[in-house]
Amino acid sequence: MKKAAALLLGTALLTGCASGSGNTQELAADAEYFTYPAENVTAFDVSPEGILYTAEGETDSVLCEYDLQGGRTELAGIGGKSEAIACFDGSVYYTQPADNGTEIYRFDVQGGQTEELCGLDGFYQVRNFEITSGSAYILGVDDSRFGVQGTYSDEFGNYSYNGERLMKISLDSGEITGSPVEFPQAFSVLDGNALVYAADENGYYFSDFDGGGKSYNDLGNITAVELYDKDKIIFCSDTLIFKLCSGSVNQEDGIAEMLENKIVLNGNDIRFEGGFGFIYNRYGRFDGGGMIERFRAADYIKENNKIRFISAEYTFDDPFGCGYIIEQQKLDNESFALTVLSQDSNYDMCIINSEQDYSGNIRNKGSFYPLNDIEGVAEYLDKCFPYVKEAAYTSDGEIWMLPVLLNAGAVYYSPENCRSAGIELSEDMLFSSFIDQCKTASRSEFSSGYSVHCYQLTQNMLFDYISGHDSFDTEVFREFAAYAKENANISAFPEYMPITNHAENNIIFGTGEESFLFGYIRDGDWQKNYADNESFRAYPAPKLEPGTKNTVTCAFITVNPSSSNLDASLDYIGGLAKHLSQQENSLILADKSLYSETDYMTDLYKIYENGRICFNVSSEIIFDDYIKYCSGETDLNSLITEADRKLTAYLNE
Amino acid sequence: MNSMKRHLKWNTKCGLCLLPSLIGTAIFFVIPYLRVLYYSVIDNQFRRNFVWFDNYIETLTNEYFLLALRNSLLLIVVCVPVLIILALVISLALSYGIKWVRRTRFAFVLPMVIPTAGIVLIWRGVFAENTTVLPIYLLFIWKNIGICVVLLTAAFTSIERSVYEAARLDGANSFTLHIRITIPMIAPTVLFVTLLSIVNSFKIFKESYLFYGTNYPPDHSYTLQYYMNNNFLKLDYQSLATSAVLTSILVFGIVMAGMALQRRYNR
Repeated sequence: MKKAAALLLGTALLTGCASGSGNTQELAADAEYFTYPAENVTAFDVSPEGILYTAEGETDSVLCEYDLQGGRTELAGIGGKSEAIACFDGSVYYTQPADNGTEIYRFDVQGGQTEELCGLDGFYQVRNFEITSGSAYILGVDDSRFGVQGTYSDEFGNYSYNGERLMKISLDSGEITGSPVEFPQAFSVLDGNALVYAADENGYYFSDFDGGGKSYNDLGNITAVELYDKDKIIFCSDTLIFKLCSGSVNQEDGIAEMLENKIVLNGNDIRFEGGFGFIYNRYGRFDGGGMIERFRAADYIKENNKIRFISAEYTFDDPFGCGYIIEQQKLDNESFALTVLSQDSNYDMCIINSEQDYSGNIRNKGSFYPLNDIEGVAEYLDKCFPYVKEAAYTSDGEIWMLPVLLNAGAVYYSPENCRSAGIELSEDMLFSSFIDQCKTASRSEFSSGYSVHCYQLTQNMLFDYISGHDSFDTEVFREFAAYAKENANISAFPEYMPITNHAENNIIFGTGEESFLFGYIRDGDWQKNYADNESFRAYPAPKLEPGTKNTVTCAFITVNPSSSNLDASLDYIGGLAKHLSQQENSLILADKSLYSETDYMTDLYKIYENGRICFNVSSEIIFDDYIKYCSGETDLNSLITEADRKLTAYLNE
Repeated sequence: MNSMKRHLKWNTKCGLCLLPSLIGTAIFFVIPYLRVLYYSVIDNQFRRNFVWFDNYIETLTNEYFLLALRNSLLLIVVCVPVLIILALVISLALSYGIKWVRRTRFAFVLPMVIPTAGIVLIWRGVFAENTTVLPIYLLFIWKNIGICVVLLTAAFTSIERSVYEAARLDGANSFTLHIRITIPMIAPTVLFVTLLSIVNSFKIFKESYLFYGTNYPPDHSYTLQYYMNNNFLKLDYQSLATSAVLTSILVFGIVMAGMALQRRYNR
């Protein structure tokens, strides 16, 4: 049924396309990515020739036009603020709020005259305004619909209906028609057809202006959508935060992430003309403003190309799509090994973490496609911390993997609160002294203000140990095991080592930073959440031996040399390398200028800079025996004998 | 001439009948085996540089391969004879119709239908304190005794009563009956059961893995299956391929020896 509806909708759109010129003529713009020098923009639109029209200024607004190189020409003053503009047939149509609703004007670019087209009583807050084939479509808040409850509630609680309504105005007769779609969110027009995004009790869907040809999807709350070719769309959704994505109305091919760090709030903030996309990007702007950016679609939308990842018992957020549709399959260890060894051509890449057993074996057994000749990869590695670069090369000088994320244990803390509570953390903190500080914290007035996951800490300590030793029969391990059993026993969950998770961390911060002492975490992405926090600092994770480097785990990508989609895979890798080399606060790049200038971020930078990556046996090899030891089922000597036996077998079989 | 034509036709018909089976064997056994052989003489399956017997030398000098080989052979030497003797005794008792054995005969086939995970749970409880290889040996015997009993009982019951009666008329006593009639007549089945048990002994991995819950069991229980499985998980196809080839040669050798023994006995 859904397919039939999508087909119907697609056919309708296709038929519509045939009658108009559409967006087929590529604009003569050079740059792959361009930012217009437009300021105080309240609305914009682009003509088929690529001329950018803007309304600028909250009061005493002006209409302007920009050529493809960004050259600005002021066209006319329009008085008050314009919420949306649309250019059509040599004129710029713009909306302005009025006392009793919204008024629409037409400005003749050649003649320089302005005339009022019509007024929409009780119609406010225009979200999008577009014209096609002599009809203007406008989405705004209809007074008569205000207060009506939407019938849908999405799982993220993002959906809210505020009285939006879609109207169609005939430019010839001035006739105004309301769309029967009850809860519209966004719309786009192309070649005489309107594509409406709305919600009903069954979820979000696309339909035509009359509500026909419903095609349900799971794109979530779309803030802006632009139809650019037949049933192909560019959109911004709450479920793919800060990303500009592309896909199709029926979602048959999946969703491709095109650009990151983009906030496009209104339907009027996204346009497509002549092979180029135009967005009004508000990312990083806290004054409500933004910049108009233009990108060449062919560089960011890779049609019909899916990149298929496999991973083994490892959860990793999909890497950035770079215009490709990312499909990730999480396999169990056996299936993963079988897929890799059988040279399956149905997967393109592996995503692995260096702490997984076979991470180094992929390199040792040559099951990777060398990335040396891929543009941007070597350059990216040159920008990474030296030890990351070293890990990415084999002894023969081949680039066997692309590092995408580092995780190093860190203790983030509030210096002021720690001082008040008598907590003394330090850079060369040993495991035992860190546990002592946890005990002190648990007795302090801030007893709920720290977050240490005992299980995770222990596992990390074990991994840290294995990364530097090939035997457990050492004084360091004996001391650690004995102390941990007594003071941080994971089978007993001591009160001063609370099992917490991120949600509980949020509660801690939700109650205010005044009660926060410190937290331990090894998730690099989580650590970055406080990048701009002025009152936090960070120390490396506690160690088992003084003076050792920080153990860092690295998530990386390898390309399947047998992939049936090798060309696209290599193109993707090149794109991803370029994308990663521009990341801010990446904790993988050595360029300090790419990091926030807070003390906290400087501390984190130092932690990651002083790291080491080991491709070694996983701490799982000892973990079961360690738990038995903690619960008293076995003694320390037996634990060491058993763990050594397994480790020796692993390393030598 | 006509007879020759008929003969050719008959041969063609036989060949055609065998063809599906031969194709299946080639696709699922011969070609994969040849591929494994190929992989065992290259450095890795992605670069494919010939290293000839380097992988074999590496495997044959690997202490854990030798340990696994020793343990696997020990399992055969110790458990297979015990299993066969036990199965023979039970089968004999069943075919003689001993009442209490007949009443409990279902117990011998039970291990074949009970899921391994269920058995292992009980085993872990019973042998919690045992640190020897005994639990694995017993598990192997217990798991395989059912099929051995079924096959041997069938062999016993297939011996015609008239043969015994004729021998008795000739003055043979019970001992002579068994030595001269029973054993020779069931010998092919015994040999078959022995070979089957030897092959099964190489497959005692799932049970052992579930019992110890790790890829690294105590040294006494570390068999060839562990060696191969661990190298598979480490993506070390060459160690896996060479050890698989060596194991297949070993099994082939045992089967050939068994068949030679049978031929000699039949003569």
